Parts: sequence; C-alpha cells; structure tokens
Amino acid sequence: MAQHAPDPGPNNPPVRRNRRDWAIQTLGLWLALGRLTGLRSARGEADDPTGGLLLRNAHPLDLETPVADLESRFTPNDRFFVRSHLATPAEEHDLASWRLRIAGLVGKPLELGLDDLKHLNTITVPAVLQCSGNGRAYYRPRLPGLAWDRGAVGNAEWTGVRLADVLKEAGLDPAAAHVHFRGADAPPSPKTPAYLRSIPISRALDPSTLLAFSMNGRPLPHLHGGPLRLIVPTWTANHSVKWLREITASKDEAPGFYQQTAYKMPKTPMPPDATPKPADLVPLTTMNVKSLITSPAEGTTTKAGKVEVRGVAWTGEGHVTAVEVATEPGPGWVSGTFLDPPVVGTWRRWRATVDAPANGPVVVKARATDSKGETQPEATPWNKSGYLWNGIDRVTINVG
Amino acid sequence: MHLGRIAAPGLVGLALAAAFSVPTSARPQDDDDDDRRVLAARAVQENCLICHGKELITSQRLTPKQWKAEVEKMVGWGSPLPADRRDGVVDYLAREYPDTAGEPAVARITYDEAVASVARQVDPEGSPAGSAARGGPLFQAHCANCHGSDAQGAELGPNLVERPVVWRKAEHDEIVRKGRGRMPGFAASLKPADEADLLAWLRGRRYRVVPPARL
Repeated sequence: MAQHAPDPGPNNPPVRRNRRDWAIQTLGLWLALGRLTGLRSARGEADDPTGGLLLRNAHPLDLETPVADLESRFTPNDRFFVRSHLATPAEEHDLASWRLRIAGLVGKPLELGLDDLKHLNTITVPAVLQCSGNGRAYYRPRLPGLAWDRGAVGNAEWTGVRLADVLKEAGLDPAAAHVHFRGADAPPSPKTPAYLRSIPISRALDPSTLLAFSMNGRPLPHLHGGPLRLIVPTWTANHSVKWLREITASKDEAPGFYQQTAYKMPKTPMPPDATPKPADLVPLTTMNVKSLITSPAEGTTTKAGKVEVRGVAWTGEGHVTAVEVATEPGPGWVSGTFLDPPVVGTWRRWRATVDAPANGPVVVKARATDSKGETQPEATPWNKSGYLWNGIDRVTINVG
Repeated sequence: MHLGRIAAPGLVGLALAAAFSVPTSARPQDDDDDDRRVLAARAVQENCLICHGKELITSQRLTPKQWKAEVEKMVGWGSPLPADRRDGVVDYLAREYPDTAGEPAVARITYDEAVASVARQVDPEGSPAGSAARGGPLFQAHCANCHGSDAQGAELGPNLVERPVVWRKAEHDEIVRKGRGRMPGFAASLKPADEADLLAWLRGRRYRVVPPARL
C-alpha cells in the first residue's frame, strides 16, 4: 500500500469553536496534531466511467454509492448503497415457501407468506436510508469500522404494509414494550453475535414504520434485503433490518451486542481517551441534519464566474428548511433553492449559484438547517464509533 | 487511484495472493523481518478471511493499540487465530495500515457484478442428483468437526447454512475438492456423488437461531 504524508491545505477546515463543543473539538484537534487530511483518492469518483459502486467489502457485500449518483430525487436500485453486517445470505430460492414469523407477546403467532402480506393494506413511503457510519472516514483521530465516505445514503420509495397492521393481525399483547427483528444474515461463527435489533413499541406502531417488499416500484432486490425488510423512516438505517425472517414482541429490548453495545452514542461528546460507562450512553435512533454536494465533483475544473452547485439535504425529525452554499475564498453564504417540498423522512434536492473567483483551487461548501433549528457543524464532535458524521460538506474545484 | 473492477466470484484465491504482498531485501535482519511478514500475512489470510473480505482490513487506518483491540475482538467473535500468532499479526497490521497512512484506494464493482457474486447458479448439466439422506451422515463424518454438526459454524469452519455457495455447485465442489485456507481438500476421500449428497443436505438446511455462547 502506498503511504502518503498527510497534507494540510484547503481541505482541512478550521474548526469553529462554538461554546458547546469547544473543549471536545480542541482536544480532538490536539490529538490529531495536524493530521487532518482531505479524502483525495476516495473522491476520484467522477473519473470512473464504469459507473461502479465503491467496494468497501466484497464479502459480505458493503458497497458505497458514488456521490454523483445521488443527484436524483430517488436513488435507482442499482446505485443504492449496500450494507451487510455478517453475511450476504443466499437469495431466497423458493418465494412460495418463504415465511415471516411473528411471535412473542402476541395472542396469535403467525407465519405469513408474501401473498398474505400483500392482502393487507399496502402503502408507499419515501424514506432516506443512511448508514450510521456514513462519513466515518472524516473523523480524526481515526477509528475502526467501515470507512464510508459520503455515499452510504440513498432515498427510495418503499412499498409494503404497516408493521402496526401486521402486529394487530397477530393480536399484539398490551404488555409488549419492544419489537425484535431478525433477518437471514446469520453470523459466520457461533461466537459472532447475531444481527438482532429491536425498536420501542411506540416506533413499531408509528404509521410510517413499514415492512417493505418493493423498492422504487420493483420487487425488493436481494442485495437490498429482499423479499422483505423493515423500514424505519428518519432513523439510522441499522434499524431497517434486511432479509426479514422473525418479528418478536417482547417486554425487553433485544439482547446481544448489536442492540446492547453497538449503535449507542454518548449523551454529551466524550474525548477519545475517555471510557464511557453504560449510563453515559443512549441508543442511536434519529438521523441528524446533513447536506451533500452532488455537483460539481471533487477536482472539477471550471472557468471563473458563476458555478451551479447541486445537492440533496435531509434530517431526522422534522424536515430541512434551508441550505446555504459558499466558497472559500468567497464573500459568504448564499441561500439555495429547493426542488422538492418538505416531507418528513425523505430528502430535498437543492440548487445554488456561487461566484467562482479567478484562478486556483476553490472550496465549495454547503450546510443545511432543519425545522428543529439544528445546523451542520464544521466538524461533528468525535465519538468512538464514528457515527453520525454531519460536518459541512466540502468539495474542492479548480478555477482556471 | 482505483484498483479496477472485481472480475468474477471465484477470484477470492487471486485476491488473497494479491492482498498481502510481502517485500524482500538483502540484509540478514531484513530476512527475519520478511519471514515475520510472510508468517503474519499468511496468518491473516487463514484466520481472518474465513469470515470476511480483505478490504475490511486494508481500509483501516489504526494505531497499534487500536489494532490490538480489533484483533482481540475478532478472536472473541470466533477467529481461530492461534494465540502465538496474535502479536505478530498485530505488529504486521499496525505497520501495513497505520493511522498515519493516506486514504485507501477503493476498487469499483458494478451492481450486476455484485449480484452475480452471490447469485444462484444453475447446476452444471449432467450433475448427479444428490440425496440429503446420504448427505447428512457424510457431513457429520467429514465436515462437522470444523463447520459444526448443524453446519452453522464451529472452531475452524464458517456457517454454511443459506449461504450463496450452497446454490453455486461449481464453486462448492471446487472448495470441497481443493480446500481453501485452513480447510483441506477432500478429493481423495469424497467422490462427485458424495459432493452432490452433501450439497443436497446443505440445501435443505434453514437458519436456526442458536442461543449465543456469549452476548
């Protein structure tokens, strides 16, 4: 592997010291000691004419979407990112015999085939799925995990049935406080924890929480969790369990690593050398506000003058209310305009025009604000799992 | 820099060889270093790539302390990496993929190639029809020691139940015959009819949740 010395430069943003995050960001910076570095090689996406996905892992399949493919309102199925935690299971070879099992605190445990599900009331919900680790590669100091860049995210129309309706069919017991989900992606070893997740009953009964069997109007593809997956809009995609097999209503959260240890965040930011106690951690659920510049691509050359900047923006609770764009060097933030209306759980495309000053590298940056008043920071406070990076997006172009 | 496209599903062997390349040099202590590197690279191939691809390793940028923690976590999750090889593997990984290195190069794969890598394949024409009733005892006799009596994984062999390979007969048969990593080849003891029986049995298995050994 080639080893490059880290370069300081226009891709190293000066960290804005607002009062709330000052101590943590200063500590993080001190630890990083100028090792902040831009992601140059990973951003040569526009160079590749094959239109391929970025191969983060071949086995099991973890594939990232090139940012230019995230420009449309809905991300095509053959561009949407793929994440498998433990295994990519075999494709279901006999759909007629496939069954979804519903058990636990229910009056009438059920085994439902796809046709049974399709006889219930079917709905279509647009929703962004974003891996909690999207943007992990930007955290400093670095940490273990899939080094997603900006493309572990996509937006699709999901068609299926409400989880609430299925639980009602099974006679959900009022004592049930959590609903567990298990898929066909089994662990490779008996010592590896199973990918078992749960959501609280209030979220399970939310009318937007669905069991999806179609994606963008097509049968849910195998790589995206077909024949059936959970979709939990506005929450990080680790909740949207793929290759569903079993749903279990319970008094308790799911046991095991992936619910009890993984996907937790510290209540307040903690420095890298801290050891958080369980009481310091809360479950990671809703996404945070984020925007993505889909055009111009990193490294584009353009003439001085007006540059059209395009992108998408999304959040967890609420909706995105504003996107602002600026250049460095430049006169400051200008407002973008939206192409899509505000709808909870899905993203809004936006456009803005900036003036590219004459000659040399210019950073184009974008920041989104949402209806809860949250805005993207320069750099998200460090957390040991590298979750929820939502630092202001930056693309360097050459003006010549 | 991109490494280019991943060609075909059976390229795992090539990838293994290419992934952990070892430099050589002329001084005696460098020879010792080279030996250590060869041993460590092989240990990674044989004990880590059983469960997941090489990219998961080569893309990391970690300190020695972080690498040690990751290796320990993987051993806890079932990697059969022997205790006397662990320090060598940690040193190797920390040297090859330190936190100070630049960003990893990332290969590309089209969606269709990715689908093909796990898709069901039609059995080659003329394949013997296997019998699950014969395959079960064969599995217990030859495979269960490593893969578990339920085929859901054990000490050395990964979970085989509902894995893509079970529906890719040519790939399955080649692995059974020639082996892979720490798995020996069974060409001397298993005939094509036996391969077909084993596969028939494996195809009939469904994933059963086994209470975890440790949460």
